[in-house]
Amino acid sequence: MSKDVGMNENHEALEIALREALRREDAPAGFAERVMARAAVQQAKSAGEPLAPLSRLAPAVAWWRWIVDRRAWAPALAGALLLALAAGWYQQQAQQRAEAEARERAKEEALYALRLTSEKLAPARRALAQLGIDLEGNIPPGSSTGSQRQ
Amino acid sequence: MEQIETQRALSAERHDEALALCSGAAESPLDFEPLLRRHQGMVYSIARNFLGDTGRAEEVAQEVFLQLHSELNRIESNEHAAAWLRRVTAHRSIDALRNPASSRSVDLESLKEPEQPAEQRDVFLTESLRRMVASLPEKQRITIILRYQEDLDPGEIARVLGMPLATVKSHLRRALDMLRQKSGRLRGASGAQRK
Repeated sequence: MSKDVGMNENHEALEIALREALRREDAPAGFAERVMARAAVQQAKSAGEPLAPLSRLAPAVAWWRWIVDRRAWAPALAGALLLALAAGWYQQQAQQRAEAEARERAKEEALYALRLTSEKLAPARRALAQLGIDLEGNIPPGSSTGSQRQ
Repeated sequence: MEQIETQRALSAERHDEALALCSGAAESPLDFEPLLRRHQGMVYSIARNFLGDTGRAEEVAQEVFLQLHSELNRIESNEHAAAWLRRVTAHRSIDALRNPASSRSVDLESLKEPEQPAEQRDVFLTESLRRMVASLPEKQRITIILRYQEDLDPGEIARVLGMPLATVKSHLRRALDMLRQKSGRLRGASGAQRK
């Protein structure tokens, strides 16, 4: 028991001694003035930076600096121009293909119609030929139909 | 290692911001000079007790206030400023100690007992104790300073340093054991000399 009391007393004595030894002390004379002078220099340096106004507006936005950096414009513009040209060329090609396909379809439909018509006219043509009449309606001389009219 | 210190500083900074919100101080932006004059003693003393060198302590203290000047718009209140300054001073002092060019550790074994009159013995022991603190390992050193200079409890120290509470208590216990042992030897040596 007495040993514990002794240890506690030693502990308390050490704590008191530590508080005394580590007590706050005043900063050296002129410390505040030296800091103020350095702070003024620091502020002047930051004000002299080219992008200082913008950095004050958006200090943590790195993309803002990228936009105002002119070196980034050239490749971006070139890329956009190439993209536009490629899109235009592709659209023109597609239009031409569509027109060609339409013409081809119309041609096939016309040929089909002519074939049908020809097939339908074939019996009539044969009948007229038996009568000795051609498609223009001319009756060849010496035919039976022609001599009867005479 | 410095990245770990930075990460701990960031997590503790979030606590500082919460503290600022809880303090209910929705005041106008703070002025730099009043904060500087109010807290210069605290900042300088932490650095001085940690580094054991007045020149390096002033250098660190100036850097701390210059950082405060550049980040003043993030400080919400006087209480927030004090917490912020303690945290930044602790981390900058540790970083300064790790800089090989500035390491001036005091060898505890080289502390000698100069002949002092009895009435100056207390002053001598105080100065010796300060030097003993400056010779502790860095984590133990900063916890002792925050505990006995700033009178922070272990929970507050844990938040400032970004350490677990158990780690802070362990550092405090080991540091006190070491200081008790060394100061006992020193008092024993001075007692033997007086005889």
